[in-house]
Amino acid sequence: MDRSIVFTPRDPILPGGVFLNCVCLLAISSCLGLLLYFQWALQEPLCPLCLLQRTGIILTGIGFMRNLRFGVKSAHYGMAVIGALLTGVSALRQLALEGLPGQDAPGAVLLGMHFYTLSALFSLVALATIAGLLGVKSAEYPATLVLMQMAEEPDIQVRTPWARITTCAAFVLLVGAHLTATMAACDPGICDENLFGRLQLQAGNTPIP
Amino acid sequence: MFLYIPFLLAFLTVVVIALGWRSLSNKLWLASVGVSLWWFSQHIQGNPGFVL
Repeated sequence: MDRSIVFTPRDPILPGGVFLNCVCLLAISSCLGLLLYFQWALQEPLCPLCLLQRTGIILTGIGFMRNLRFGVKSAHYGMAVIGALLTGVSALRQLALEGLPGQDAPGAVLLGMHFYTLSALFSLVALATIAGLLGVKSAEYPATLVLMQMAEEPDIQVRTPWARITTCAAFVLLVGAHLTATMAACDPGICDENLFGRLQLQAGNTPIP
Repeated sequence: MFLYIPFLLAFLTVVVIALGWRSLSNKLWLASVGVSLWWFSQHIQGNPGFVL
């Protein structure tokens, strides 16, 4: 069917959305791998806000993974934005608690910056990247029309998307490793059963970093 | 024991996405965000740590 009345594809049609999402998911996977390295190899201690930042990074990656699995959609980018915002807000909170002048700033340093500073930068970079990817998406040929055209031409052989599968599998493995690491390191100092009471006791004083 | 619940939910979410269950993955993602925000709300109840 000629859909030129409905939509006239720009020339050239940009196939970059999926590739760029793969690159972004790989970047997030490498961030998660780096955090695991610091936790396991360098024995970097955990803290509740650090764990929240990790959750935010994973939630950002989930948006990209949904793009790879279910097709590139604005809603998936919205999920990634929410993850990046969660990372940024919890990183800024920890920065306010520990990283301002005159305060003690414990923890490992990478490239001259603490991990909460890097998490805040990650959040900014992720938001800027997602804004760019949304621009690429609006310039691309709609994925829905591609799927409709593929359904009308069943003779075309679809290649197995090994790059996407490998990228997603690496991300799933790293999220599983983080879950295991968190469960293993869940000592009474950071996630004991009395944490609720401890948080409420300290609500009027200095909160737990 | 509660701090790994967001990780558990996030892991379930990525597994469900890999399996292709769109609706369930949406719910798990929402649950993961909700639990994370709830945890974060526990931290912002106290002293902000700086003077505005």
